[in-house]
Amino acid sequence: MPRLKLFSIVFALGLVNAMIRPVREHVIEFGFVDSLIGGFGISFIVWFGIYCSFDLLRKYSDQKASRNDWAMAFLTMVLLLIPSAFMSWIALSIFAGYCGFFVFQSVTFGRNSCLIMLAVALRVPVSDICLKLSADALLQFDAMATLSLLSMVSSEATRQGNIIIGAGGHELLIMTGCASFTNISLAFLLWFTVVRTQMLCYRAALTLYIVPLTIIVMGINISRLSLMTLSQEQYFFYHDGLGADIVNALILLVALGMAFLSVYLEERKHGGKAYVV
Amino acid sequence: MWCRYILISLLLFIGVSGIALKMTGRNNVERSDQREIELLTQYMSARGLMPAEMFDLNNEGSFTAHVYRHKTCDGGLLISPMYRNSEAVDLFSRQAIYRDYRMGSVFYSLDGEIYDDFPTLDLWLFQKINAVKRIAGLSDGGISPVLAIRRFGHCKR
Repeated sequence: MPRLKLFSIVFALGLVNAMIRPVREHVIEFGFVDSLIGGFGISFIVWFGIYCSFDLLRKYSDQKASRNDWAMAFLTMVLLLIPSAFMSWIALSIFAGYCGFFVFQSVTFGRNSCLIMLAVALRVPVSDICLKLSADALLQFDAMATLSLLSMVSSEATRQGNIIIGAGGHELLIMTGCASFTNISLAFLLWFTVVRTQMLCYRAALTLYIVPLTIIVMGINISRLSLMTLSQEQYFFYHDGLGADIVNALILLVALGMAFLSVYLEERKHGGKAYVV
Repeated sequence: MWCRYILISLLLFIGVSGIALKMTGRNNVERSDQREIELLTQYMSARGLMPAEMFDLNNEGSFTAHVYRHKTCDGGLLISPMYRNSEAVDLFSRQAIYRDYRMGSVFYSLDGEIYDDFPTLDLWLFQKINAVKRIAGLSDGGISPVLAIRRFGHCKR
């Protein structure tokens, strides 16, 4: 059997296993049409990453699947039998990691495809672990940064742990869903997907672009949190209303912009060599 | 050739079985506030504490304080379940105030153990072990929370 087919089947089954439960719950809660418009409760960045991964895999010049490939595919399937979305993401990560690091050569579409799938699959368990074990530090940091920004406007704002008390007495509790970490992880995924789709050969210098990306995304989220602290109307606008959509679109544009900028600058630095697809 | 078809059929069968297992899994595994509160009420009743009322700690109502009063003295406990992580610790410390009563310090309980600080790592391990037990059919409970507890009133106990 061709590798392309085998890997595609395993990726597809792994993704369905990992996402079926949250997708089903989202459809039950919001109905199919609203759920579809909302990406079934899964960020469009994740769907985009999945699409890019399959698209790159399609470009791979096919070979026959080896015994090791079959063994890893069956191991992944056995792990997928565990009725846990967390374990399904881990199983998919293991298979994508095997394909990315042990099957494909370093400068190939196949490797990039698997690395994007690895990033998509690893994001969920890594975020889960970080947000459970380091919630205190992450939320306190966000609260401190928000208070620092608010202090520029008004000196009356105070903080108690991850609660910001605005000048007008309006209080904002920063919860895990609003943490900058969540936005940063999605922005990273988008940046990584675009870079790996556009460049066959990853250069270490590209990693440096992560720093400004992190700072800008964090800045946007902290500005949003600061605005949410000002009044209840502002809170609803930036938490559930149009303001929230504007902020999400802004983060998306920043991540996209930074990805294309890093590809463009790297291409220019190396004289537009052929490693750019 | 036929061997290849058997292999791919087997692979698809296992993968689809995994999906079916997840689809048929119980929906209420994630959180079971009601069950947790019922158990808590039973536990408290056995120790002479009766449920009195409850109030939201935040406007969205995502965190609630349950008030349990002693039968024999003017005081009791405020209890709030926290399922995810320590995000509501400061909220509880700030908002878990009951009428004009004198409030005690906050402590936490997980699986019968008492902690002075929020047991972040223990909660994560406990929930993961419970998830494995559920998968193995050794447990049928939902995800157990950490209970943030605060004494109020003038009871000596």
